[in-house]
Amino acid sequence: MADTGWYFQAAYVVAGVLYVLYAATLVTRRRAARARLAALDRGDDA
Amino acid sequence: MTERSTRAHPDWWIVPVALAVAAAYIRVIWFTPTEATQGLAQKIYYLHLPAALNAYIAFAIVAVTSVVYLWLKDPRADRVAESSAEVGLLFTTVVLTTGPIWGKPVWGTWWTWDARLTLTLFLWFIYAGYLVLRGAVTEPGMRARYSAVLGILGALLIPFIHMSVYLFRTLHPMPIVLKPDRPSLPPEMLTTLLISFLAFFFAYIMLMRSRYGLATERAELAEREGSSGGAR
Repeated sequence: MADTGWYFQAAYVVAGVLYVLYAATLVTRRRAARARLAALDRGDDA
Repeated sequence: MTERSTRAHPDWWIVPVALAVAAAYIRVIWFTPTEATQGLAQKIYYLHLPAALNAYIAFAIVAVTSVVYLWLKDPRADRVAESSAEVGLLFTTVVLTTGPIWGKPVWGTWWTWDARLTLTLFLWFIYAGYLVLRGAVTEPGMRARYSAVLGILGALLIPFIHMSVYLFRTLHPMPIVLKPDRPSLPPEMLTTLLISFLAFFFAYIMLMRSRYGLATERAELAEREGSSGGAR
C-alpha cells in the first residue's frame, strides 16, 4: 500500500481553511453592514 | 433608543457543529479502518462526499425557494435562495479541491475532463454566475426574478451529475451509498460517513443562519439608504 498520508492531510487542511475563511468573510461582512446600520440609527449620513 | 451593536451575537449552532466536526474527525483518525489499496487517501471520502451531498441540498433549496419567490414574490424566499447559493458554492469549492487531491494518488492525475468532474465544474460556474448576476442587477425585483430563474435551471444539473457515472464512461467511481440497493460500505465506514455528513449539515445550517442575517441586514440598509442595490 502506497503512503498517501500527505494527500489525506492536505485535503483536510485545504477544506478546513476554506470553511474558516468563508466564516471569517461572513463575520466581516455582517460587521460592516451592522456598522452602517448603526451609523444610520445615529443619523450619521457618512 | 439603544444603539445597535456592530457585532453579531455568536450563534449557538457553533456548539453542535464543533461537537459533530470533532466527533467525525476523531472517528476518521482512530476508529475507521484504512482502505487496503488506497491507504490514508481514501479517508478524503469522509470530507468529499458530505460536502457534495450538502452542495446538492443547498442548490435544491435554492431551486425550491426560487420557485416560492416566483410564485409568492416574498423577498424572504429570495434571501434564502441567495444565502443557500453562496453556501452551496462553498461546498462545491470543497468538492472541487478535495477531489483532485484524492484523484492524484489514486488515478495518477489531479484532473480529468470526465463527465462527473466536468459537470460539477459547470455547476460551480453556474452558481458563481448566479452570485455575479445578483451583484450586477441593482433593482431588487428584477434581481430576484432573474436569479430565481438561473437558480432553478442550475439545480437541474444535479440529477445529471449524480447519474453521470451511469450515463457516461468515467474514471469517477459509482455511488456506494446513494444507489438503488443497500450501501456497500463496511458498518464502521458508514457510521463515520453519517457522522461526517451530519457535521457538514449542521455547518450548512449555521452558515445559512449567518448568511441570511447578512442578507436581511443588507436589505434593511438598501431600504433605509433609499437605493435599490445597497452595499453588496
